[in-house]
Amino acid sequence: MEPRIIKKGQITLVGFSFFGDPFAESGGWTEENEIGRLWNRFTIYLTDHRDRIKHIKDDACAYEVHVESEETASKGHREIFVGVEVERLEDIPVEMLVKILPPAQYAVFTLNGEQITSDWSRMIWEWMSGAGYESAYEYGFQLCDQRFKGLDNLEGSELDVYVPVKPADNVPTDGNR
Amino acid sequence: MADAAGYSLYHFCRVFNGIVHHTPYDYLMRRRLSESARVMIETDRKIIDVAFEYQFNSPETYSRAFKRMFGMPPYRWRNQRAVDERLWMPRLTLEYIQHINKGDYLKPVLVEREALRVMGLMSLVQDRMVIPHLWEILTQELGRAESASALREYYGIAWYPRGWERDGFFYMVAVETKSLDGPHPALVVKVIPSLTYARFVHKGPRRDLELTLDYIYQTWLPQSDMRLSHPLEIEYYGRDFSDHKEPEWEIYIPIK
Repeated sequence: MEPRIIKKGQITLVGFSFFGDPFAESGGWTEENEIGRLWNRFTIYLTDHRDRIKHIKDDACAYEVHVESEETASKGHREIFVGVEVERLEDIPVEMLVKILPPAQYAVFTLNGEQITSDWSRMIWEWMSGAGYESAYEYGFQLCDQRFKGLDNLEGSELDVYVPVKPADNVPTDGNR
Repeated sequence: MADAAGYSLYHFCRVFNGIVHHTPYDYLMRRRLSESARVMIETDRKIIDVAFEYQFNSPETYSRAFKRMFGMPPYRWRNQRAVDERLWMPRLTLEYIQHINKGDYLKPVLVEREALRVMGLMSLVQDRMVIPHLWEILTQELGRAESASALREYYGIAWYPRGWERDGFFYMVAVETKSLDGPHPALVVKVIPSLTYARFVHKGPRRDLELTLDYIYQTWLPQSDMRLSHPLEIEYYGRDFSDHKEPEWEIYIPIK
């Protein structure tokens, strides 16, 4: 699967965060782990208090950011942040958190149907090493917009995965691998 | 109780109040209400039966006293099944009594704080024992970000969402962001607006923090004319969050 390469400026998100092992209780795409609970919490908050978040850029777009740390490989600890993008860092409700992502170049993979719940991270890493890119930051995000119809309607759903990339230091060339 | 202790009633009440910061009667009522509140959640017994078992003359008296202590009538407490345990009064322990009588540092000062912007890591916490681990990770992340460590002001921020006793509360280890430039994708930012706080000074090791918090919520708050304005606590460590020989830090409780 070939991604698009795009540049994006700073992204300021308002939402909720979880740090720890989100899959300690249950792996994959389910409401029975911390990622599912985070989405539930965020969705309920938006339903009840949409008016408290000012300056939302696009109501139809929600972000799920995964940030890896030095402990991700050994303990599975990572941060998950679910939120919406805002124009500026003002009038943030006291109960919410902000995540600021730097300007970056991204490889954008569009996933369809069953691909969405497959193990696509491996495919992304394979593409990256083959295409001469490497990760620019230790995070990535999924952008859920109106094309994503929910887990019970994967058939008609699409989802974009954004991975910050930069040209690899050692770009493989013929005869040099 | 006075007889058992071998004191006159007057002397016993005076000494008890001086040490526990509640009159014997108030302590007894709060303990009965706390135990009955637990029964209400853990069993399906009728409210009227619970009221009589805990020595209340009528369901109405019980309901009024209950609401005064927990801010809601017993039936609502039961329906929610998840309640603010910070308001529940546990049995007194010698450790607690010694802690709150170490000095007069538990007398708060009311302060207005300007808006605060912090950056750090937030996790869902069931047990405060995991918090030192969060500090370690934050230190690693900040070490990678920049080097102006001497200028950092450290904060621990607890947020108690509804149902936190069951699901856990949120705890953020953080630094004030004035000294940090640019976005840091591994961290989150929290903005706390300008609020009025009761500022307490906690003295003693981190493990005694719970004792200070018990005092704040179970003794100071009900005896003040204040209510909590947000389900939030801020611990301010200044420039050093580690446990030193005689640790001391400020606790801010937002009130109205």
